[in-house]
Amino acid sequence: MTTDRIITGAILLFALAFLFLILPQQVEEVDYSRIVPATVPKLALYMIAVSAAVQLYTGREKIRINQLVCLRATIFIGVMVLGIWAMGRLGFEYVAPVMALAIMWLIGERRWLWLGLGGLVLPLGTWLLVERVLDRALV
Amino acid sequence: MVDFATMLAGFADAFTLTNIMFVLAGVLVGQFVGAMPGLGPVMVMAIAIPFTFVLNPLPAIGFLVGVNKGGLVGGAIPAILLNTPGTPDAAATAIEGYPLTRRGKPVKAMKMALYSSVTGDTFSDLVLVFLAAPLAVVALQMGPVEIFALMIFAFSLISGLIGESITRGLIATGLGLLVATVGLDPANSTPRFLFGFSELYDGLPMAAVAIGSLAVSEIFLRLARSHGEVRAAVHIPRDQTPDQKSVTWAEYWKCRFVLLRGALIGTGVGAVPGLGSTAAAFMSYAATKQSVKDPENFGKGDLRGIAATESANSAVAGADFIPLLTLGLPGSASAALLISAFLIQGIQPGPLLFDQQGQLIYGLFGAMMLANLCNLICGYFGLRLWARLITAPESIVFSAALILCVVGVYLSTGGLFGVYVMLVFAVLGMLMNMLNYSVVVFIIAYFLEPRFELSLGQTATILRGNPANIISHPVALVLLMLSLVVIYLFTFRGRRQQRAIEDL
Repeated sequence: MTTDRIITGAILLFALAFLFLILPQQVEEVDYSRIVPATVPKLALYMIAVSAAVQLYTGREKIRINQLVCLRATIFIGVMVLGIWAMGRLGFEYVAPVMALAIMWLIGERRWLWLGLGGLVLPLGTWLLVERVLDRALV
Repeated sequence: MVDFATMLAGFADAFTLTNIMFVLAGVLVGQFVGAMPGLGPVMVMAIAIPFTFVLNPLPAIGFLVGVNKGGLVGGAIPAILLNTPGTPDAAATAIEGYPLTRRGKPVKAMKMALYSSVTGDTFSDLVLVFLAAPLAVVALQMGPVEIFALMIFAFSLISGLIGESITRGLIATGLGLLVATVGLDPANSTPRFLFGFSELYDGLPMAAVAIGSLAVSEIFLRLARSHGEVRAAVHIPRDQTPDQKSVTWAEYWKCRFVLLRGALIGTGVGAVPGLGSTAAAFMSYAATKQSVKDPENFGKGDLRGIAATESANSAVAGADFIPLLTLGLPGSASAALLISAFLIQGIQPGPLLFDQQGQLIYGLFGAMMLANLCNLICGYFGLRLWARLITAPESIVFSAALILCVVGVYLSTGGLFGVYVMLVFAVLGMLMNMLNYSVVVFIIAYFLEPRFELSLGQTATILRGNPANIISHPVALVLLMLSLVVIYLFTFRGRRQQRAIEDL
């Protein structure tokens, strides 16, 4: 079985699970209207389920997933989640430079001039512009 | 429909100093990001939308239009200099542009791309100005049933045209529709898919969804694929002969029919939701190569090739507004983002715009013309600067873009919840990209869902709950049948393409 078929099968399962398990719990039933709150979500889910079923049967596409790219992407997402969580606790002006530096470092940037510009000048410049010039609260 | 005085007032609005400055800024930003491989105008439009909240509608939309148009010119620069298109639609430009660079004529190639781009763009803008209002009058004759059928037709067309296959397009459409139903249902005000988050009562924040799926996902993918390499600097010698650095009037005039054909193809393609500027550029290039007497010169640095691709891909930008303004249907990611900008400003795109916001619409047309002029001037004087800037390291560009995404979403949603939503959609967008599901189709469906649900409700009421009553609405019936034909044709096309690939 190809990767694409496995993923399409997962999409089909997701649509069916959403349709029969999650939707009844998350959408209130209304019986006095032609279009009820569940109409469009059901339409969308049926569309996903039917298309996935057709694709499962007819699709022959071969998808190659680069595991290294996935791993690197997960690391970057992790850095962002951690950074945003820390921003909520410590403040943008303290966390944003560290986050930007971490991202630049992870990409492979080692030149001090660029690290200084991207890791300090740009985040702090953004903070100064938004907080001091535009007078808008930033995290 | 719109009286002459309103049109003039609209055009006058476009040429106020404030508006000129915003359009100019948009064009400069657009040319810069277009020139940076990996950034692109769509990503920057997504990032810029939250920052335009505080502006009046015309400067806000004028700025975004400037970014979009500037990006089309900027995208050709790395395609010509590095053989790396800054935007997908410039890929065809690289075929002729890069050989010219290798022959020592990079400035000439860039100038030809600039002139062709501005020519194509201006042509399609003029078509838009003269065609949009009459089309809006026709669109106004359509009732809710016809609009509902038209949306079904647009969904099927977009699902088939954008992306790998019709099934993938339909899955992306379904996902976009599903995500947009989060929040209070418009008819009964009952909550849907809140999962215990009270912040979701108003639905998912539009800016967070758009920025997450279009910009942050792309940045994450680029970051994950990059290895810190520094692009080679492009040195353009100052002591070039006029033939190496200038496009003469005779050379430009020689390409007039190529430019016209490119502009026509681009305008036609742009007016159909879903086809896109990349398709227009390649179609125009192929048509030009077939029609010339010396096709063997193509691929070796022929100015006509650049004229064909750039006039076509830029003509799409203006024509994209035809379905957007007359029917409220976006045909591309940039048009979908402009719809969100309109909605954020409290304006519902569609045929009623000409009646209710005539001055704004003609102001927008004026801003588009202004953006073309700015594109020409900034491009002419800024080509060498952009050529130097494309060597800026990706590390600084992407980290700055991520910080701006966080700031933009935080400011527009007023809290960190929106930023987390942005990250969720960044992951979704990334997965969709990796698995060949079109994010553009997803985002278009997401933006159109509220209107779709409204027209579905109105249609159900008009048809008294009986679908058979659609027989009394022949236009809607034809559109629904066309949708079925489109789905059938695209399924067939997919199978035929697969067979052709297997035969190879």
